[in-house]
Amino acid sequence: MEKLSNGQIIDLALSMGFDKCEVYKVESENLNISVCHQNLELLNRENETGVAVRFWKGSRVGFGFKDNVFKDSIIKMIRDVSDIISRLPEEKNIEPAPGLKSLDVYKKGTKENPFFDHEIKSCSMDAKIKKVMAVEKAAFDFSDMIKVSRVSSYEEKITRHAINNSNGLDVEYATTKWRGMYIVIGGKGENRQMKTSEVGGIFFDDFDPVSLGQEAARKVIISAGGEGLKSEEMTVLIHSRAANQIFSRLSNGFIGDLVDRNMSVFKDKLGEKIAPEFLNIVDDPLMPGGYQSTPYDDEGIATRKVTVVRNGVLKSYLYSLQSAEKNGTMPTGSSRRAHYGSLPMASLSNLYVENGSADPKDMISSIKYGFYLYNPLDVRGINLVSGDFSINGDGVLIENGRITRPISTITIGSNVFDFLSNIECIGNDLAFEPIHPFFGGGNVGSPTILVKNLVAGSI
Amino acid sequence: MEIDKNILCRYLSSSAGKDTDLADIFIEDWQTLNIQMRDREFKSITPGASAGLGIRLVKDMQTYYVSTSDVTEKGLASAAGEAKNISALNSTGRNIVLKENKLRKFDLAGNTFSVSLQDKLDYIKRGSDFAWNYSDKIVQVIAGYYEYLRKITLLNLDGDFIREDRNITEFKISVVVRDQGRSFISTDGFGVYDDASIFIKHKPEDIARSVCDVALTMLYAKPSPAGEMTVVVGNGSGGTGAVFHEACGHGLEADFIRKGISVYRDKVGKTVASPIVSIIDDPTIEKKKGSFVYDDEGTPGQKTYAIEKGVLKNYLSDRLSGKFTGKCTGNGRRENFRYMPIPRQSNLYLDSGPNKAEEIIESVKKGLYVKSVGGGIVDSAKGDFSFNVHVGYIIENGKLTQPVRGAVLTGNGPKVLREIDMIADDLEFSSGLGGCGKVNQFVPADMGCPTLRIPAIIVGGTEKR
Repeated sequence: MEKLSNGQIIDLALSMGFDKCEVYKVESENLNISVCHQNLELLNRENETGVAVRFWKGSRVGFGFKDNVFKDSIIKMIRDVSDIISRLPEEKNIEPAPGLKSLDVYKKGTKENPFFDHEIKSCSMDAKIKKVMAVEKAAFDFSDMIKVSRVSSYEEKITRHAINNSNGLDVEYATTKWRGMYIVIGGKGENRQMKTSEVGGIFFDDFDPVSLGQEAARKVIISAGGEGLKSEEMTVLIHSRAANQIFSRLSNGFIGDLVDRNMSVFKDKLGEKIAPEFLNIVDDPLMPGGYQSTPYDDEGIATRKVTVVRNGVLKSYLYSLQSAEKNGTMPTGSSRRAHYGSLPMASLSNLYVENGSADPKDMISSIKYGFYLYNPLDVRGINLVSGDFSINGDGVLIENGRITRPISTITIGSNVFDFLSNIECIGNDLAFEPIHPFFGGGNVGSPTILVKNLVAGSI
Repeated sequence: MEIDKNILCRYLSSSAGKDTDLADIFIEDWQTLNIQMRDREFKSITPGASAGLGIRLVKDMQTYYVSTSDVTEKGLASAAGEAKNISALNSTGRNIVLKENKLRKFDLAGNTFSVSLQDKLDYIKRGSDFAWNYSDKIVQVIAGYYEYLRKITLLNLDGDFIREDRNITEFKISVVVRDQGRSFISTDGFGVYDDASIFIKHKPEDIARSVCDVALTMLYAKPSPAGEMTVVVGNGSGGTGAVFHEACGHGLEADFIRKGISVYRDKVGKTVASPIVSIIDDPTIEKKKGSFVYDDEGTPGQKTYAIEKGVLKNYLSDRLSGKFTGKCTGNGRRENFRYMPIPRQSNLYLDSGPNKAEEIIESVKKGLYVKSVGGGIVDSAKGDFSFNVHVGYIIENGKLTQPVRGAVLTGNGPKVLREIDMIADDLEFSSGLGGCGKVNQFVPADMGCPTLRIPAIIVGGTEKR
């Protein structure tokens, strides 16, 4: 069976009656390792191909995708889209990217490509399995409160991306990505809890199994044996790992495509002060070694660092080509496809709250009475349409500047704008974590933050 | 693309060794259609198709899995070779005798792909138009339609050769309402494993009306009070069955038992719930989102009493964990050909009881009525759960009064099961828009419960005191 290149797919689409065409292709080699109690549980290998095509006829835009590039199947896809296109609306703002060529340095998996770990393939399977086992060992060595592993897993993707369009766009680049995840159970006696820690990056060498294992163990231990807390307005200190999840969810409100759809409380807030002047949020797809780093976005636009919030003022949304065009501004290189079968839309890359100057230890000692949120359980109560804000999680109580007792799951309520404006102090301990798309996605970072006047408690 | 079953048999038998505990080849062929209407326009109409196969070899509880989207004999040969290679099994070939299984199937008429695209577009537009015209406070209506036909073929070491075509359709309408700086978003619809009759059974106008009514009511709802209170959980039509799926169902899954994660380990035959509580998993109920004829490793789906009248009877198991628990209940499921099967729930529900919903509400002097829940999450080790209450009402002197928003139900699943003291006779399943995620696999699932009373549970709220 004949396989088609992106250029051949475009030619075929144009010859079959379309005016413009964009082809996005990924080919990846995937590896998955799972370990439980020092036994290999799963070894999974897969070669994956995905191609997604957008077709323009006049101002109508159709979309199709396939898991192969065989000529017969691509022709069938083009015919399917031809049958449908007249039913789609005339769009004003969707155009393929301008015809640029990508830099050669990103094309190959060489040492010079900053988005590729050229050693990841030469590293043996045994070495990888050993690292996954070391995560578990680090957690068990850390404390005897650690009782049971659910899974220690490692996922690796070596991907070749190619994006072409009929404007002459010719973008090709290679990336590597790994992600380590550890789920562990522990606690005091019968009172056990399960916690998850994740970390991800480009270079396998950056995968530090000991810190991942210890981080998961710390999450389990910190609130073990915790009890409830009387519900009242109080100061809440949010650990950096907990703040990551909150800012992942919340920052989806900065996505231009969602703002356009009337789906964000941050609509019409550009240029307005939404937080104290010491809060800065940036999205940086060029961050060295970042889990979500990429030289180009999924529409072929060169990525760049975007300042979302500067000195508390909302400076920019994250735009895809379409949402940028609609808002009369330049795209920010933020377009992503959750899967090759999904339409491109802006989303978070390596988004983070910039470090402040406070030492988290001093932040603790500054609190007379407050809750220290360590492990958020669910942040989906942050509703970006209504602005309702309720999250929950466990942690410890701070009294007179000292940690006094563990606290089991409590609820923290506010609304999105009150939460932001009540931030009082930002720590200097920025740390990143890949966040599941379910909770907001992105590789999100935040330092520890101190927020006053939140309703918190459980009883 | 189709590979002859004798060829499948040959590759499976040459990959598996004498000491292989489990092995199978799982092939699937998907056809999908995804339509989204937003701002009164069809923003996307996307037909899709894909196919793939996965081969699994298990020895001493270690799984070796290779998948490919090349569903040809060549693709199979390469995947089988790679699986054998990474497993380093000393295989000398395993004799597999193909069984003459009598294939079972659900009694369904033509699949949804037999309905014309124009009819589907008209159907979606009816729902969207109705919502837009319902009130001037509506600022966005998103109508989404997703259907797939998933043709599954499986061969396992026992020689079971299984086929099942699963036609799952989802239709949902989300509306955003806004008034004087207040906003609310609400969503409803249906998700089912059914046939083309769904377009007649479910009227899009009815769905739109109900979504708009909820959104407009909740737009003016007050913040929920917080504290410990009596909670009446409404029947599963509001998605409330998810509480029991999350907080109890997962703890009954056999991999959590095998690994010593769940509080239900070593509890078979013991009383773990109030004597009025029974929890059942049943993929054989027809036309639900979590229904299946066979699970994804070739075991026929079956009704399983996990908890019967308060006593733990069975875990929900696949073949691998079944070796530990002693019983496979046909709950081995996978998201798709890329994944190995793991123990999963199908349509899990808490069974009906003797009371009436009205008498349960009337029995409460002051409390919260939970009509529907949004997302929820659980710590499967402890059974602690947290659910966002989407639509809630204050109960005062046995009557529903003020609607409230922002409430969060937090508690412990096993504890709640012991404390439930009234259960109504009105079991309902959810609308089927949800599903179930476990580690990195998402599968279609449904969940249900009747109206029931929890005498005391902690409600987190946003009301300032």
